[in-house]
Amino acid sequence: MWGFLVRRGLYNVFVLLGVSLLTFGLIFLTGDPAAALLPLGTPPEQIESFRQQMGFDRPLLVQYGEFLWRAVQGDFGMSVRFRESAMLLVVERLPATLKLAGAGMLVALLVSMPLGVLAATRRGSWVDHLARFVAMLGQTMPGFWLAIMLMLVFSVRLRWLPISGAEGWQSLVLPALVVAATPIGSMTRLLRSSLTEVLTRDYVRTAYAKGLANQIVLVRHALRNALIPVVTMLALQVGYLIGGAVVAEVVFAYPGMGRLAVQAITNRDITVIQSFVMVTAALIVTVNMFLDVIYTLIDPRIRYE
Amino acid sequence: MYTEVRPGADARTLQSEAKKRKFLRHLPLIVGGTLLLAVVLMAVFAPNLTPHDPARQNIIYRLRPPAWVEGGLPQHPLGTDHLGRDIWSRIVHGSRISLQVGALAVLLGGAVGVTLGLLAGFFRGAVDAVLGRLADVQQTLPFIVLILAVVAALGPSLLNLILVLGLGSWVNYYRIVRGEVLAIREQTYVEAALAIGCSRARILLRYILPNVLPSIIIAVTLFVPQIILFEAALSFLGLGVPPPTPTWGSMIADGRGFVETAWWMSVLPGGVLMAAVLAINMVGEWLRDHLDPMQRGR
Repeated sequence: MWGFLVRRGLYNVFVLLGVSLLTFGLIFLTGDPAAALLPLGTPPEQIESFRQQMGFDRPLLVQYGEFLWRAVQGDFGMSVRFRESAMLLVVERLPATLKLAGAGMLVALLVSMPLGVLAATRRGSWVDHLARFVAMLGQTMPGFWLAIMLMLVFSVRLRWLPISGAEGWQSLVLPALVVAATPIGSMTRLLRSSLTEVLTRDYVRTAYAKGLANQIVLVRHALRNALIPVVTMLALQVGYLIGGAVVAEVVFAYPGMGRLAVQAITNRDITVIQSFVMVTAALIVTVNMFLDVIYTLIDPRIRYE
Repeated sequence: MYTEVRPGADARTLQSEAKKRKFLRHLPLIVGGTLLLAVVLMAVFAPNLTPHDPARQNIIYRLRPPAWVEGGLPQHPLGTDHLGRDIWSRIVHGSRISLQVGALAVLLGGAVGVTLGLLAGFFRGAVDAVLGRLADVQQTLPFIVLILAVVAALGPSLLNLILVLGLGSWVNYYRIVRGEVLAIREQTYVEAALAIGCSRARILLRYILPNVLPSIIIAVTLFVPQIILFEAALSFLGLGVPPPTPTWGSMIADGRGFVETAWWMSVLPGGVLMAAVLAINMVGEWLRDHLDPMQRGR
């Protein structure tokens, strides 16, 4: 187990190195990094002196080495717009985004778990049809449009919830629903299909034959096994949660790192985007490591050697 | 499966039951296909279907509701936006961007992903190892974050959007194709082809590719709607095709400031976007049911 975690950790360091190469490459995509980092309309002489000051005229490998060395220390340079450390700007907004993503995950679990179980145990009933409909909706609903529709109904028409901001739990409800929409669809669908399959297994029939109560068979024998693919899916959902958070934060003017990143793009504030990309990658890698451990808890058959 | 025999049931009613069931099974294709056809026709014949230039502003008729609502005008069936532009014309022209980006990006990503997947699965070795690591690195980042970062560096334009969405999605096809090829290359018929002296290129293209094709088709139908949604999201965030080109995403973004006074500005393009995505998904599900019996009913 520990050996596995160490090896996995080393591999993740490698993955993060890869991501850092990508982030480093971002400023070169435009062809001229000095021009990319400065505001539009900067005079050429100034760009030239900035190029020398930043060392963009040196060999790429040297530049990458320095970028990496500073990145390890959390230094991605200054934000052009805020005149502050870019990394600090992102990290300051990280807790708000985590809160939103966490709330979204919670909503997604609270909806998809019961719905998936009911759909699988009552195939062909109205719950089953509802589950399929919800799954389809989650797949097709554009998050930003859902956000506006929710706003229209709950904030404008009914006046139940605030239209934007981040004060109190009320302002978290609508953004969390938007973040949860896609995961609700995919998790309901997956749980429904995996539980349906598990319920046909011999050990479930044996459990029933022993005379065990319905609930016990369902929870102890069926659900535990059906949840394994769902946990795998959960790891993939983290990405969707962050992606959904970007959209939800923008629509509801929620002060998270996704909104900062989108603002940074409009301001051509590349260092902030670089920091955002690295923080997101680190976050996802960490969550995945954590889920690997959870695996062993729900399924003793999985042992990492 | 057996059919329940009710009293009075004869061959004819059984036959009609079977027909009904068959019809229900094909319902997604019929509904989805019709909707999709409508969107495609909309994109192809856009200039003939629209009474107004989608970019033409007319401040006198700004923020008019759809024709069926009080205050609506017959010449603007779906109303007008904050600049007095005709919503119907903009929706119709917007379909061109969505379909173009969806189709071209998937073609591009598919071509790259399928080729690399075939090579990696068939030859294994260093190519496979390097591509696998590359895929891992890329998939660590959520697709939207990757796209945001690259668009930020390159700047928004139709071409950049297609390039980024296309090249960024190679992993999806790569993973599927590589996995299938790994299994197929062990089959006896591949061995037989090798034994009779077929070239590797011939084996890849004539023996392996046709067997991977169903999976590729399924992946494409599942990914086109995703790409269309990503394009809309980017346009919504102001990072898609720049104005004045009408796109569904940017129309919804325009309507965002007017939710309280002019709901039609965001509700209508969003509805059309959802219908289009739903249509492709329905066709995709039908295809999956019919091309891959293992997945039926899931």
